[in-house]
Amino acid sequence: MSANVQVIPESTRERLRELFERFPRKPDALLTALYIVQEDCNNLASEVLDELAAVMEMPKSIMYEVVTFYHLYSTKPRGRNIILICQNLCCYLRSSDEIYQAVYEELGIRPGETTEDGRFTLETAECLAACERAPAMMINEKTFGPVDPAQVKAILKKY
Amino acid sequence: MAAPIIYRDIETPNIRSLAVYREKGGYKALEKALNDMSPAAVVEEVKKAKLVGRGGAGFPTGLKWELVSKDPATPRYIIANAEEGEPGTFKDRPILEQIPHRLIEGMAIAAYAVGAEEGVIVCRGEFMEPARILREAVAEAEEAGLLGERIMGKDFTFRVWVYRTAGAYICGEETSLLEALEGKPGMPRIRPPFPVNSGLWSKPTALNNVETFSNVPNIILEGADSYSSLGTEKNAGTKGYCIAGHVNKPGVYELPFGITLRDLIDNHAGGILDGRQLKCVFPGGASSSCLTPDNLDVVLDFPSVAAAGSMLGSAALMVVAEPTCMVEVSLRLARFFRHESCGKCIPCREGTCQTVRLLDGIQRGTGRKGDIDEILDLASVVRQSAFCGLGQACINPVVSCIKHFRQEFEEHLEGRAACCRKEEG
Repeated sequence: MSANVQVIPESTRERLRELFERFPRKPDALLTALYIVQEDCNNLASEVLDELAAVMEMPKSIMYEVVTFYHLYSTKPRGRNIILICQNLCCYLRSSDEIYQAVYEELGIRPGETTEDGRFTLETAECLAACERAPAMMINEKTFGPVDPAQVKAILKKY
Repeated sequence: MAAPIIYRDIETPNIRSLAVYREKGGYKALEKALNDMSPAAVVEEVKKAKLVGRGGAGFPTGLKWELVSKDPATPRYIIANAEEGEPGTFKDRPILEQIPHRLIEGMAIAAYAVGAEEGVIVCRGEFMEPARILREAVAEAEEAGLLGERIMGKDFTFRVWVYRTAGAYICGEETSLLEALEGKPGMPRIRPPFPVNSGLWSKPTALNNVETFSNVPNIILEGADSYSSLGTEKNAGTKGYCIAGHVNKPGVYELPFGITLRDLIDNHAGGILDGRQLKCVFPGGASSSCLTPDNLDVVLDFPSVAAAGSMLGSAALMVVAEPTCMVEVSLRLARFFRHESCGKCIPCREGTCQTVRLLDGIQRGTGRKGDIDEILDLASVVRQSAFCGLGQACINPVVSCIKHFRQEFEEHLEGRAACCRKEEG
């Protein structure tokens, strides 16, 4: 690995500098900083965290603890679109298992997996606060529901 | 019946925008507070209205604000808990997405009451869209001079920013939320000190649920007496009841405290799905014990649901109809808590894992004879020794399922249950 190639680009570093101005100390801004870096670098792999540790002036171990504590950060490569399907009780009662199955049939991925073309990553989700629309799923920022397994193909097509 | 307070005007087109919100009387309550009331009078009015926290604990809001206002330390903070993550709860999302200015106005009144200049709306990680809408609303309010310096020409400064945590149920617990807001893993703090004295960055903090703040403009504008004329003696006002699962019309129904479970299911939620038989209801989300059809006449306020052996919590009613396998239901809830246990204390971290292990064995028919009782023993230990509310409550729903449907657990254990056979294949 070349020592002078940055995995966190300058444009991301600029976004981080703006962020730090709003917080008393840099480490306080960690959750938002991780979102910014994940958005720009796809994921929070070890070499990304190495560089971020220098920017944040904090130990990588503490950042790693935070990254692995929260569900929405990933240390592995992620697809361009993230699918979350609720597996909690209200959605289960409205057959959310069939939505997982429909996604599997369409894309061939199970929770935690990414399609070979890098288009989608599927993740499990706990209650998405959309129980009146159970079974509910999210793709990126958008919430769908009630999802009919037969609609899954058409929904995925838009991404 | 139209929603009387929290969701009033929510059907009005574009009520999300500041202009329409103001046409409907929005920010008049803030104006009244700033012009006609002292901060102490605002606290007094909220106390008199008997408003209690809508996040689940039911703590008196006026008292909380009074404690913050009397702490000499500054700066003080206002925080709206928009972590909405208790399974079955979806009452705050419509406020955030459709009528965000009601929340902002409520927070501004709170800030005036306690002497805070900064507020944060803390959204759960998955609330990307609500967070975007809130940021737009905050910008609009700043533009109009309703947030910022010298609001309405008065000596009152208040700014709001929107923050998003990153996907952890525990962050709904107030001290975990504060940890997350300070950039750390959302692990609960020991209490006391309570956030009213030592909250964000160890400063006095009024931390309330979104729905709680959303009641405040009405209390100020219409007066405490009008507000407390709704509801029961112990719980004034209305509640956004969330009802989902096996009902025909799942949704949020804003009703005065005092409605019965039967009335809510039959007359608002359209009855049990497809005319099926009711099996049980979890009245306060995933950490509440289930109620059976014998409890249909329970009044849905905090003390009455507690007297029936459960808790109202955030009024997230998850309705289960026949024929649903209660072992599978228990396993879903147990897996949820295993996933969401923060790992800080051993009773919760291990207790949730062992509960799943035992239930899994029961479901597959590979468990041992005493496993059902072992779950009950384990639950009793975890309830008494876990660090925070999540741990203390997390095995209660499983215990309640065993209590009411023990026969189903025994049938699974003995390999006699037809419903879960497919799991073995």
